[in-house]
Amino acid sequence: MPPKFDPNEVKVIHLRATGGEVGSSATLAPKIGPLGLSPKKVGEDIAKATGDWKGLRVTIKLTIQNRQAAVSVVPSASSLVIRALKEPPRDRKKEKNIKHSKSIPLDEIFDIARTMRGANKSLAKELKGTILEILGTAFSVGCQVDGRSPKDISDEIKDGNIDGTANAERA
Amino acid sequence: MPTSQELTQWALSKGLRLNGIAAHNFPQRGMGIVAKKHFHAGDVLLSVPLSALRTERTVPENIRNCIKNISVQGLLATDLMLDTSQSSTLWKDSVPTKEDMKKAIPFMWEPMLQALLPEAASKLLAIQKQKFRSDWDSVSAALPAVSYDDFVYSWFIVGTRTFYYTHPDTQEPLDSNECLALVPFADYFNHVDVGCKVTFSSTGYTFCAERKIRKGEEICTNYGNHSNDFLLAEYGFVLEDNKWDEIPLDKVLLTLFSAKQKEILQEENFWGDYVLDEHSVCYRTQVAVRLLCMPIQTWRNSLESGFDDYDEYQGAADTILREALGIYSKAAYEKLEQVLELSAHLASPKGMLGKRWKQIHLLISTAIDGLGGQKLE
Repeated sequence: MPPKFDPNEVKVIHLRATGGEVGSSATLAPKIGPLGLSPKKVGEDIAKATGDWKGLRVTIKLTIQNRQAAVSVVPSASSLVIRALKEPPRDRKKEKNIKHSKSIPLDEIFDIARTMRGANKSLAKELKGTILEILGTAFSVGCQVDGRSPKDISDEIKDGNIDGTANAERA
Repeated sequence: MPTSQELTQWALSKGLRLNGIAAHNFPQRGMGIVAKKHFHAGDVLLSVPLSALRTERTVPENIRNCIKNISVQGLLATDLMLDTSQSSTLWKDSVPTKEDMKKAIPFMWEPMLQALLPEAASKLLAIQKQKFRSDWDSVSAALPAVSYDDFVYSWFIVGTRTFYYTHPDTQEPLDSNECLALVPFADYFNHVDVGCKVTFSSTGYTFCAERKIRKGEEICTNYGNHSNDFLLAEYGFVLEDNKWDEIPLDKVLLTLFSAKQKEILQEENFWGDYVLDEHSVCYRTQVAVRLLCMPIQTWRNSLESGFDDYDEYQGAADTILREALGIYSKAAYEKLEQVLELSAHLASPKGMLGKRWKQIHLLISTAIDGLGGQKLE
């Protein structure tokens, strides 16, 4: 006999989707169809839940219980960095090899770092480490921070020229 | 039966923190928890430290060592049965009696009554029988003086009251049927489909209100999102309103497929486990039934991209479903008639079986009406 309050009755599935769009169910169907959920319906639920992330690739967490899926967006560093760029929404089908060359204020990087810590998605011990992680992501996305290369900024934080921790805690 | 005050005192002495709640003995229904004051959503109702639990590790070593090959449930049941200590008497006096259990738990019913259980419940009963048999073999070999009746009773007291529990030091075993602890006092909470919030952590269990609770109200928790068949087989009751209720359709649907179609469904992971709930048949059912009325290539394409609810095959699929559900409905009605013919001295099982078959019949009729030649929701 199974115990009361068995946490294993909940099934969690992670997947990547484009925010605000009802994508093709092809990625969804093999994952949730056999669990008895309609891929079309869950696809619509995902589009609704990701309205704030129009046109961006985001990680979705589906919490499935008794053939009902609760949709939530998992914050990921790259999604947050790209959203902070405030680029105009584009048609992902028409534009290929998108370059992200704009700049983000450093304060936004601190905010993102805090969000990531809040979601327990950082491996760093201190906020400073998380900030460096986010700057690394910004570098790989290809954007700038305060008009400079993210790499320069992280070097300065490492040297102590920019006080990452104090700045961030104060804000 | 101990009084509410005695139980509160006893719980406090075990280190539980009660915040304005008390155990209450409901006539006919047994123990439950009631609110002694008003609560807001998020208020803590009760916290139970790990030291108050009865787990595999609190079973005395002499018992643990003398019985080989026994489930955690069996071990806790043996411990409970042999426990004569003063400190647990009060709690043992407050749980359902042997007579109560014999009326409620299908496992302890006569075979004639067990034969009237719905499909899903009798499947669970078969699993219980197998697991119990193995535990009883181990216990009776190690402790020949133990009575069968006592052990069945203890086994189900444990089975109907244990919470999910893992010791902080152990790697989680994969089978949650082995992750058990008895949580005296907290096990008085009765079940509803949406209840107060329970969290288990390395410090113990915490119960929180999930909505406003008025003084004098009974407070219930949700044991899990279980169907009424599950609740009947495992806990010996059936809910009046249960948003998680569902019934299996395998019995009426699996016979419709040819050997070849069965093979295809098995390959694609869509063979069996078809269910109906208050809204509709599940997606698995939709997929399988469409195999009966769609060209195979179209079916395979749709399988990859997800089936539409309102495509051109919906009408044909509905017809197949309506026929299958019609057969089910008739069978449910016949079972209900058999139950109603049971003699009056079997009042408790008769009442529960009657209620359940009525629910099943209603669930099917509602589904058939929903199909009614129209599109399926």
